[in-house]
Amino acid sequence: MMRTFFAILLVTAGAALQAALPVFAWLGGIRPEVLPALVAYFALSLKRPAAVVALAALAGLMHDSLSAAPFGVTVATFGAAAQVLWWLRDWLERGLPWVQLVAGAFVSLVTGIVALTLIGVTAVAVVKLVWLALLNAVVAVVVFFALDYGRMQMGWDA
Amino acid sequence: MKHKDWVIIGLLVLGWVIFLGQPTPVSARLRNFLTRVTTPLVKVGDWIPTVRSRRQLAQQNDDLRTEVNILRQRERTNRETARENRRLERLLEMKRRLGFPTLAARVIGRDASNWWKSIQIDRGEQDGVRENMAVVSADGLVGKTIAVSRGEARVLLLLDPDCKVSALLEESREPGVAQGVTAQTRCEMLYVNRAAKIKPGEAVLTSGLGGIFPKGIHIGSVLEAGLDPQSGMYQRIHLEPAADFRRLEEVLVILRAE
Repeated sequence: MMRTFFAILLVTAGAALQAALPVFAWLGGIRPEVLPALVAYFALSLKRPAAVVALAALAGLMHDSLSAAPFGVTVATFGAAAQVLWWLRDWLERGLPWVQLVAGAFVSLVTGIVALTLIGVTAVAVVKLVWLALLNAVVAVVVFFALDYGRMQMGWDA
Repeated sequence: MKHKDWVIIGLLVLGWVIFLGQPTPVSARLRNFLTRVTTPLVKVGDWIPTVRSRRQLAQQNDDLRTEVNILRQRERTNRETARENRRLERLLEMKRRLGFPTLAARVIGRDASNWWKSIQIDRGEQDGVRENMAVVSADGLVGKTIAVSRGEARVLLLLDPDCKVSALLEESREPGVAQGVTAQTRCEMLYVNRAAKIKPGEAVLTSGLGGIFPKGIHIGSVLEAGLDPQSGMYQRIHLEPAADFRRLEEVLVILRAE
């Protein structure tokens, strides 16, 4: 119960942080995203797929409520990406930084590709998609480290 | 000392008193000289009341530092208030120019996604805001409201490809549609007559068609125009938006455009 509450709180805080972060001109006019990293973390850390998808859906709802994106579109993308990562979790060593990088980039790419199908694909948009995925991959490593450390301190297991 | 000596000393003193009491040039010069000599000593005397213990000085120093910090903070607040006043004055000027009932709102959030362009404002249904209301800044058109809750509303920015505005070139009077460009922070005007002569810098205004945006709001100015590579039938114009979307802090919601 406590962990569920904590996870919901984490998603809420992540969404608020993502909306509050400024757009960095030196990063090419984009802002790093926290929610794809959280979705990747849940997918590779939790045992129950229902919990993974539920948290991913919640993250998607939070995202869409703070965006002009069609409401619900990110629920599907986060949910699908989380489900795929959860299926692959036995083949992935989640403690390795490159796995965390790839997981973060994967969720970001899936979300971006779905967004582009809605708003239209251009060359600039594809460059932005790749650049954003790289940036979010780095965010994922930071999120994995921070949350693993937090869990270790609390003595929580998956 | 003998009695005679006292008499001599008394006469000398009396002589000096009489001499110094007279406003002669010699006595005046002497007075000035003595004044110059003694003044620095008088200034030293000024220090005497300020001599305090080290502890008292340290306490005073701390108090002054605190006061300086408070005053600095107050100065920053005053500067910020002055800036806000300037922005609000410009917004008020825009409100007068528009001539429609408007509602001032603060920008309280940006879009959580990197793919859509919107802002959140602190006015909602309870303030009379409804969906599809035009939103402007002191510089020009910002966008339209798309999702309104009780106390907040989301505004789709002109930079978003989904925000389409019926537009008009100010001088040539050529119509078209202004909209954002995918994944970029600029906008363009589409469906402009291919025969139209368009000058860079020409202003683009809302045409009033469509019922959402009142006529005559500044959308932006022409950067460059060229034939639309996709259709080849119209001109596509790159626009420099009038509003500074990176620095939006206060906006006006146009409550009724009729």
